[in-house]
Amino acid sequence: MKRTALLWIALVAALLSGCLRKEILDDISIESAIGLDDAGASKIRGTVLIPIYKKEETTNKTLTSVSISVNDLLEELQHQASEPLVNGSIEILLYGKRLAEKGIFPFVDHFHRDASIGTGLYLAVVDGTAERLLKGHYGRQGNAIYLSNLLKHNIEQRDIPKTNLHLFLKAYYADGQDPFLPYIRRAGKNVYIQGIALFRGDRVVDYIQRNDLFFFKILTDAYTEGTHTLRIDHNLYISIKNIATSRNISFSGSQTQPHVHIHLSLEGVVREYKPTPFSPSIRPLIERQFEKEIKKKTSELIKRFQQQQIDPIGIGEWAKSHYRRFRYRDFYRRYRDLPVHVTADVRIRDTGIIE
Amino acid sequence: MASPTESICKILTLLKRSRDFQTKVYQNQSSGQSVSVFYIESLVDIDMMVKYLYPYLIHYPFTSLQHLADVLPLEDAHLSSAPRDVQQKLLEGYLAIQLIEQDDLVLLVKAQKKIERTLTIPEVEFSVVGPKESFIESLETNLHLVRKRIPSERLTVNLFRVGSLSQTKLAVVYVDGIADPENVQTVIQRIQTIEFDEVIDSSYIVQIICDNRHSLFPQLLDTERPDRVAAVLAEGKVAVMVDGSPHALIGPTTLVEFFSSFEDYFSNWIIASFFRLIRLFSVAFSILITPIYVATLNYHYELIPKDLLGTLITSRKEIPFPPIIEVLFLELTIELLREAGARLPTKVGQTIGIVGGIVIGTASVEAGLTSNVLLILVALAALASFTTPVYKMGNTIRLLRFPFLLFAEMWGLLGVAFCFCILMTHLLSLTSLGRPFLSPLFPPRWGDWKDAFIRLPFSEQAKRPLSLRPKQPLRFNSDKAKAKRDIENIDE
Repeated sequence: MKRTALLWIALVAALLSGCLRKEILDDISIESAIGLDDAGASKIRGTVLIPIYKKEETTNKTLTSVSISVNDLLEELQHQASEPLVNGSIEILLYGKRLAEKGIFPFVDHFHRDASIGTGLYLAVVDGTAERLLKGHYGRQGNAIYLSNLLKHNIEQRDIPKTNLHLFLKAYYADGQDPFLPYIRRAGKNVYIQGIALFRGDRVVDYIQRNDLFFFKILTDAYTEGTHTLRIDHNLYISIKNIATSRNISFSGSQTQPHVHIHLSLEGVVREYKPTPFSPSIRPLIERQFEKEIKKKTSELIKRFQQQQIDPIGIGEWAKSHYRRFRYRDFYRRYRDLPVHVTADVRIRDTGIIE
Repeated sequence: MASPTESICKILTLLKRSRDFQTKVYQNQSSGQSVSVFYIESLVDIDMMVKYLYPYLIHYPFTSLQHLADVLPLEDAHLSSAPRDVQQKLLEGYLAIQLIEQDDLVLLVKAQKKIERTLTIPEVEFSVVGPKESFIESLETNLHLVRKRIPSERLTVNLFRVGSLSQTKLAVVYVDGIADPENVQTVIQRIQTIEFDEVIDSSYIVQIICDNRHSLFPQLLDTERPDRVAAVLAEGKVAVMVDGSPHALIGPTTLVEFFSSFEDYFSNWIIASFFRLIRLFSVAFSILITPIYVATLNYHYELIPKDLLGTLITSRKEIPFPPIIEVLFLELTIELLREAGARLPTKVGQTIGIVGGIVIGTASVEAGLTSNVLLILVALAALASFTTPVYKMGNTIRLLRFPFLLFAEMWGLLGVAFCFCILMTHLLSLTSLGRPFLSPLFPPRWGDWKDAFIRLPFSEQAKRPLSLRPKQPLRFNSDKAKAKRDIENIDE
C-alpha cells in the first residue's frame, strides 16, 4: 500500500515536470530595460534593451516595435528575437517625456502584474525619447546596469528621493499623495539626472530642476546624505553635508481650516568654507542663514505644488491620520490656499578635522 | 553444533581432519603416566607450551588432572567434560590434556597466540591536540583503553558472543547509575537477537541493530578514539565494542553529533563553536549548492543578481548541455576521483587526486563541456563534504545531493523545497536506539543546545543531555564550577 502510493507520487512528479516551461539561462534573451515612447494615435513605441554578455564587455542590443499595449508590444518583439524574450530581470523602465505627459499608468500596469518582476525596479522619465537614450552605449556593464547604478547611488547617497516601482504605485494609489520620478536626459555619450518629474495622477505636470533637488529631498525623504552649498554673499560660501534630517508634519486648526506645519531639522557637517578659517562665532550665523534659505526654498516649492494642485510630499496622507472623518475631496478643494508654515532647525555638528 | 550424544572423542576425531590439529603423547618421568595433548597449532602459543607446560607434564609427579590444574602457573586451566565446551575452547586456542585415552575428563589450558598491532594514532578522526591513541583490533586492549580513562566500579562491561560461525566477542559498555537502563536494555536485547553467521566488524553490528535499515543515515556513531568513548560514556551513552574492530559504536546518537569533531572539546569554546557552525554550514552548502545551481539556471533566472548574470551567462555560453547534464558529469567525476583515490595505495591516490582535480577540471572547461563557475561550485561542495568529521556521514552527505539534483531538474526550487521536506520527514521519524535522531532540534531540548550547534564552556555543561534521560542528570556542581577561586578563597 505504502509502496504503491510512493510509486504513484514518483510517477506523477516525473510526468508533471513535463508541464513546466524551462527557461535555461543561456537559451533566453533577458530584457534588462524597456523604454516606452508616444507613437501618436494612442500607440506606443517600445524599445527593449537586451545585454549581450561577453568576457570583456557587455554590449547592448535593442529591439523596437510599435503597438497599442505593452503586452502586445512584447509579443510583437518576440518575432524579432532569436531566443525567447523574458522580462524577469528588468532593471529600469523609461518613459519618454511626451508619453509621460499623456499618462503612463496603462503602461506600468503590465509590469506590476507580472510575478517575475520585482517591485524594486527603477522608473524614470526621459527628456526626449526613451528609444534614443537606450540606443546609446554607456559603461562596460551594459546600459541597464549603468542606468540603475546611476539612479541607485544618487538615491542612496545624494539628493534624489527614493523611488522605485513599489513607491510609485503606492503614491499613485494613495489618495493623499502624488508620485514623482527621476527625470533623466542623454547628453552625447552620457546620461545625467536633470531633476524630478512631478505627476498629477499618472501625468507629468511639472519638473523640479537640479538646484531644488536638495530641498525637495528633505521635504519628501527622511534621511539624506546630500550636500548643499550656501552662498551668504558673493565671496562667502559654505558647503554643508547633511548627516541626518528629519521632517515632521503637524496640523493645527479645525478640519475645515487646517494649518500645516512642516518642521525640518537638519544636522550637518561643514565640508568647505570660504574664506577660511571658520570661527566658532560664525556658526550660529550660518545656521540661521541656512534655516532661512531652507524656509524660503521649501516654501517656494510648496507654493508651486499648491498652484499645480499636486501633493508629492503626501500632506493629504498626514492630514488623514490627524483628523477624524477626514475627506480627501474637501481637503484638496482647499489645498491651493492651504496655509503651510515651514520651520527649520539647522545644527552644525562638526567643522571638519582641520579645526 | 555438537549434540549431547557426541563424546569428546568424536569431537577430536572431527578436528583431526584439519592438518593443523596436533596430537602429542608424553610420558611423565615420575609417575610413568601417559598424557595426550591436543591443540590447534595455528592458534596456540608454542613458546608458552614449551616454557610452562612441558616441565610439569614431564617432570612433575601429579596424581590427577585436578592436581595438575592446581599447580600449573597459567592464566586459565580448568577441567571440563562437556564436549561442546571442549570444542569451543580448542577453537579458541586452548590446549586439551587427557590422562588416559577414552577418558571423559579433559584439562583445558589457555595458551592463545596473541598477535595484535601496537597502538597507533587515530587516522580517520585525527586531531592536532589531545590524546593520540586509537583503538586496535583486540577487544581486551580496547576495553583497557576505555577502562583506564574511567577507573570506576560503575563502569560496566557486558560480554556477548555474536555470529553463529564467527562467535565474535562483543562488549556492551556503560556507566551504571548514569546511563538510562532502558537504553542499555535496548542495546542488549538487539544484540542478543542478532541472526548472522560471520560478524567481522562493528559496522556489521551497526547495520544489524540500527532502527531503520533502509536509512542513508548511520544511526550509531562510530569512533576510533577511546577518549571520545570515555567522554560520551560519562554523558550517559552506551558503547558497543566488537572484537576485531578498531571502531567502537556509540548510541543513542543525534544528527548534530555526527558534525561535532572530538577536537572541539580540546579548544576554547568560542573557537570550537565557530568550527562547528562552519561544518554545519558546509554540509548545507555541499548538499544544496549544485541543486540550487540547476534550479536557478533552469527556471529562476530572475533570482540571479544583475552583476552575476553576465558572469554566469558568459561561462555557460559555449556549453552544449543543459545544466543537469553538466552537473551530473562533474559530480560523477568527483565521485570517481574519490573512489579511485580511496581504492588505490596512498601515494598513487594522491597523484590521482591531483591529476583528476587539475587536469580533468581544466580540460573540461577548456573543451567547453562544463562552465568554470560550476567547476568551482562542485569543487567547493566536494571540499565541504570532507569537513564532516565522521567518515560514514560524509558518504551520506555526498549521496544526498543526487535526489536533490533530480528534483531541482524537475521542479526547480520548488522541487528542492519538496525534497528537503522529504528529508526532514525522514529525519524526524528516525530514531537511534529508540531516541529521536533530530534531538535537540526536535523534540526541542533547549538545554541540550549547549553542546549541539555550538559548544558552551565546560562550566555550562553541568547537565547531561536531557534526550539521553540519564539517571543522574548532573555531572558536577555548576555553582562551584563557575565560582572564581583564588588562592585566598581556597581555605574557606
